[in-house]
Amino acid sequence: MIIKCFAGIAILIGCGTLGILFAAKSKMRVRQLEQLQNMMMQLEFNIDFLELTLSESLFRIAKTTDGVVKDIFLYIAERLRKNPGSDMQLLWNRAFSKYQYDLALSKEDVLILTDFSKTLGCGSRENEKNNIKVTQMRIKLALDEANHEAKKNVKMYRGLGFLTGIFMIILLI
Amino acid sequence: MKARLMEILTYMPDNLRNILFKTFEIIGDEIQEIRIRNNLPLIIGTQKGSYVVLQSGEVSNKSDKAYITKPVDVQRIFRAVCENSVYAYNEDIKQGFVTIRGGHRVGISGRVVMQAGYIETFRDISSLNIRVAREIIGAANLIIDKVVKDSKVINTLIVAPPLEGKTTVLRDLTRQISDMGIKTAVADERGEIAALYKGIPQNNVGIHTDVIENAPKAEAALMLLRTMSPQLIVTDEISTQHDALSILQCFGMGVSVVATTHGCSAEEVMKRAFFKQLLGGIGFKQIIILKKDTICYGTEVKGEVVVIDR
Repeated sequence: MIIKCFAGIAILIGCGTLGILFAAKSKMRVRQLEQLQNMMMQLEFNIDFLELTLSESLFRIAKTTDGVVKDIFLYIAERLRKNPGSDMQLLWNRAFSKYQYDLALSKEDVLILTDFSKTLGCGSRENEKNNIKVTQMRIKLALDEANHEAKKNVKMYRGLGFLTGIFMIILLI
Repeated sequence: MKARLMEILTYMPDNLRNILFKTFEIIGDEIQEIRIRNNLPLIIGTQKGSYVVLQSGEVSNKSDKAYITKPVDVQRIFRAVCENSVYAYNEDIKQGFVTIRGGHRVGISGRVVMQAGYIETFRDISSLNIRVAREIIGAANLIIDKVVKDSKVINTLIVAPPLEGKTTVLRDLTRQISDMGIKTAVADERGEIAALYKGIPQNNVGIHTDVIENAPKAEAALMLLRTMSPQLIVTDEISTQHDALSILQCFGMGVSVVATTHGCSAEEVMKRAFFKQLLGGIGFKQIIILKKDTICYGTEVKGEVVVIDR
């Protein structure tokens, strides 16, 4: 009986934790999208007022953020500094592939950023500002959707985790 | 020299980097410029003449098997020299060149976008010309004693035809004078003397040297006079009445001036109306003509230097 009790508690904790982890991923997506939105604002300032190069700008932005988003910006900035001849789009794609397991972003979110990298750094200040504005709008839409999803999913995943645990305990008993 | 030349490779796409690496290994010391044109052979300019670069990286006079530069190569190199940040280099692009790491200059040509009568930017880049920075320590050894006498700099005009090494001599002269402890200010309109890259001179211009780059000579010279209290002002290529007037102002403020201009002889220079006011009186005390074989490529200077005392 004691063993059954312990096994039941273990299942409940395991399933509950899984639910919490899934919920956290939903929240993490929101957090990472917010970081990207903030990055876009800083990038616009760095381009428009400070006229920093992308490498300098991404280094600065990386200092103000954390987690995988910081790692991605540092990766791109470092490579741009060492090798100015790098293909921009290829570089961004590589960065997102390298850190894909730590990213909570959806494929569509990543697509926003790889689209952004296609023309990044090619044009005048006005062109860059327009590119940033379009990307900001796309990130905002993704963020609204992620917020909505998170509100819905966080409770659902948590509840589902514990309920699955309880259901399995009942089945086992 | 090789290490500095190799800096250029970091701006090249992979295919061109491999080809040019071999070329640099073969004739690196002789290279003066690299010409990259859309759908045309890749060309290397040396003092002996121009050669096409083959797929193997070797150079030849014949264009068979030449590496044909694709428009995408030109575009990639252009973006690379702008550090993938064209907006940050727009002022340089408007002037038609960008200075890269190592002090090399990349000239740009193509279709220009005009706005309100001024060049706004380049839209379609058709060709690039990478002028290899050439710093010859000791290039001014033959003339330093004529320019500096009793620790005082004589107002000097250095004259030579294009590509005869005026700037190379002027740069080394600046370094030597500056290292003597004379406060030197360089009005480097085209960024050829100090070649600042992110505020750091890529050429050795001495420890007592301040540089203003990319500004018109006249404005830069006056700004330096007001803010850096120099004993000597150095500037390259006086070519307009406006340049001459700014130099004239410097003479009147107790500062020595060393400058260069295009020309083959003193007579030729003096024919230009605006130079008359710069010669004699408080102006230039001497003209130094660099003859055809005065500057050689390598590390030593040989040949004849003609000094005309006025």
